Amino acid sequence: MKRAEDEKTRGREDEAHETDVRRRDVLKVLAAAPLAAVVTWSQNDIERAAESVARIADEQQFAPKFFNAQELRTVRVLVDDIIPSDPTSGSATAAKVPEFMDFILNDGGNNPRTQMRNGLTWLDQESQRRFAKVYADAAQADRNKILDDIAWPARATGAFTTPMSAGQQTPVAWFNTFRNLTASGYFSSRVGLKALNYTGNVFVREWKGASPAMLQKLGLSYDEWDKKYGRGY
Amino acid sequence: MRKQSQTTYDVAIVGSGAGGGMAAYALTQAGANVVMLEAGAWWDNTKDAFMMRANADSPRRGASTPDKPFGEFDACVGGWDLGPGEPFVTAPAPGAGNTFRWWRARMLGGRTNHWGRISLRFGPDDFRRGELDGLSDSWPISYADLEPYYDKCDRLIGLMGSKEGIHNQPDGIFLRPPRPRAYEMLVKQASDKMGIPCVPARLSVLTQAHNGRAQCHYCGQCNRGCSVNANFTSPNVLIIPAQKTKKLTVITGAMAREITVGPDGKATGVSYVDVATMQERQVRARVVVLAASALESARILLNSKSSRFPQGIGNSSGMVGKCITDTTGAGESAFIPALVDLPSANEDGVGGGHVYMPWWGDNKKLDFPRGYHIEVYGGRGQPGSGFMGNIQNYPGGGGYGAQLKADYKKYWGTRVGFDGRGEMIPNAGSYCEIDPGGMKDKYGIPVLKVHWQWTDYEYNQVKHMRETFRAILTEMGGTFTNQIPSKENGYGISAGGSIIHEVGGACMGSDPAKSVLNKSCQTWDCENVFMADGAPFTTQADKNPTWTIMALAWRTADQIMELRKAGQI
Repeated sequence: MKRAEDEKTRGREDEAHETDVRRRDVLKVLAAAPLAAVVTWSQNDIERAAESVARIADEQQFAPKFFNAQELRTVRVLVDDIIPSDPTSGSATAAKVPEFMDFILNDGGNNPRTQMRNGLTWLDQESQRRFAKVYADAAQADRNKILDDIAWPARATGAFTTPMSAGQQTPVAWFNTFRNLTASGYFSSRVGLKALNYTGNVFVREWKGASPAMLQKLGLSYDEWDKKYGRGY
Repeated sequence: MRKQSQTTYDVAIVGSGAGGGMAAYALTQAGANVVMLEAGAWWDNTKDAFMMRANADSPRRGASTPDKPFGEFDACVGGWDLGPGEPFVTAPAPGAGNTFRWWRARMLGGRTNHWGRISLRFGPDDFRRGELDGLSDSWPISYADLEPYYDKCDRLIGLMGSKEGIHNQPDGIFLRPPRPRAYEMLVKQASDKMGIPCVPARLSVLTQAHNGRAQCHYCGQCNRGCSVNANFTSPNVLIIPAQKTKKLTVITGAMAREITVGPDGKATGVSYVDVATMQERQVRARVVVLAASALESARILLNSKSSRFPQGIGNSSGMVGKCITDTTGAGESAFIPALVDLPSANEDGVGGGHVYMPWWGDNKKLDFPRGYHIEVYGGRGQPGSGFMGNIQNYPGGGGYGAQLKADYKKYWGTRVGFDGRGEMIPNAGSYCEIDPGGMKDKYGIPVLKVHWQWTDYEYNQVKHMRETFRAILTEMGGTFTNQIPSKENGYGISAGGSIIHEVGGACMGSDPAKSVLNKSCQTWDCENVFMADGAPFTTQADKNPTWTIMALAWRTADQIMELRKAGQI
């Protein structure tokens, strides 16, 4: 039963992915439309195309300074694989994590620029080798197969724990860095703060210490504390 | 435009941080006409601070930059590297941590704008280490000499804390301490079992309104500068109030070059470079007070060469630049299973730990002298860049997707850590001098070369810190993913200067042949030159230096006024 549900979900994701590919095709057609006057459009095609154009326009407002177009495509897919949406909070792309990454990698200091670039290249090569598609075009199930190999350092083996090429990082090390950056961008965003239910950075009229719920879970109480140590604590 | 050369001030102060600010406050209160030189620009935390700016609203999410090593919203202009125009030279020596990092502020108020507000008095023993263990000199003054000034600092500035009566950890005049955070209660439970004292932190943060300043609103961002003055900064607690006396003139953008000397061998003022125009200027004063930060002040003394003082002012003993110390530093942190999946809560509190552990050890039973204190951190601060780095080190082991997202939420705030801050013994290998290679900064002022050396006293102390921290964290149920660094790596001791507690370089003493300053912080060689920053410190302590810098500066200001009244300077 569980498995069937998984398959169903995966099927939907694959379908969604297929839709993305179709959108790109539609866009190509749209771009060529003035020349291709004989195309016949269904209502469905038009709606889908309009939606794609809106989304692409949104994405195009963001002019990456660090990532090239192909890298950005990969990043958009990968960050959502790392932090997807759920019923209570949005995904990494909804939190504009790719935009954050692009900014921070371009921001001087000791940012892992080369490491990041090499890793994204490795990911596409790995995906091509195994699934004959770059990562962003691979099905969710196939993408997961790669992530399963690199996302848990303690159980990673073989090629995933050896340098991508001489003098470079291992795929696992790169993924650690990429995941760190994804989490940085996500949880520091408004979307991520909501996911964490972060309640700080506000004026507090009276500091009452830890919340009753937190104290209760830890088996602590300020009353007993005061009895033992005095109000000084 | 005012012709600066025509005014002769009673006192010229170089530097506007804790020491300079306090000297200006006390001297103007006492009626002196004071000019203050600050190399950086005007900075007022009530107007210029980034308090409560959400990381989420910055594309950088609060990350550090080369100009802001402690994060883009940190309230310190300056840092480890002031760029090619203001270099200094280090002389890395063999051995772990044997190089020097120098945090220099270039702003009104200096490092008081972002400091940790840990406001500890030195204890009676800290002034007489020469008698107690003989590994360094004793101060020429005692705790009793400074106690009234610590009291005055407490009353003027305000700090939170609790009366504890612990040996060599003098209590002050405290405002109510805030309740501990949940994880801090776990820390105290564990340290109690081990006989290590864990008491409310002593921070110059106002938990109650004080002297017209608002009480803290617990946003946890003291280092960004407080827009409502609920913590201590030199500009808003000392300098701006001093200006209200109409006795203080502050000249910003003034990079001090040297103390000028008259034919009688007395200081006549300070020459400086106006950083905006690069022009040479001078202020005239009857008394000069250096408070430019310990090493910068030593640099000014060494650069103040004249036929009368060919080795620089105060340096007939050859002791200027000697006996510099920093605080030792090392930290450990652990994953605490008890803190997994706690209900959400605002744990911001004041900008720092609500508890700390003062030194408790008995050196007779230890393989190092002196001691350290322990600072505590943990909880769920405002998420920013670097949030929960290396999730693979948490029990989930890494991963991706829904499981990973859930792990981040579950494990947020489950790390608790300790930073040890200990006393270094002055040694002959740790000193600064004017660069023998002749390097100058962009103002044409000869730069410092800083030599640094830790000894086994410090290495062994750091080893003890780490073992102790791990024992407490283990008692709390904590688990570790790292090992204690090896002996060869100095047990991971911080590099010299890293803790930003560098003091000494113009030490007080009882013997003019072995010290730069007498017990009034007056140079033995030049009767109208005084020091009011960390430079006079004969030794460190297992405490942060700022409160002692201010108590000492206030006392020095009083000594200056007494000597002036007596017609001696």
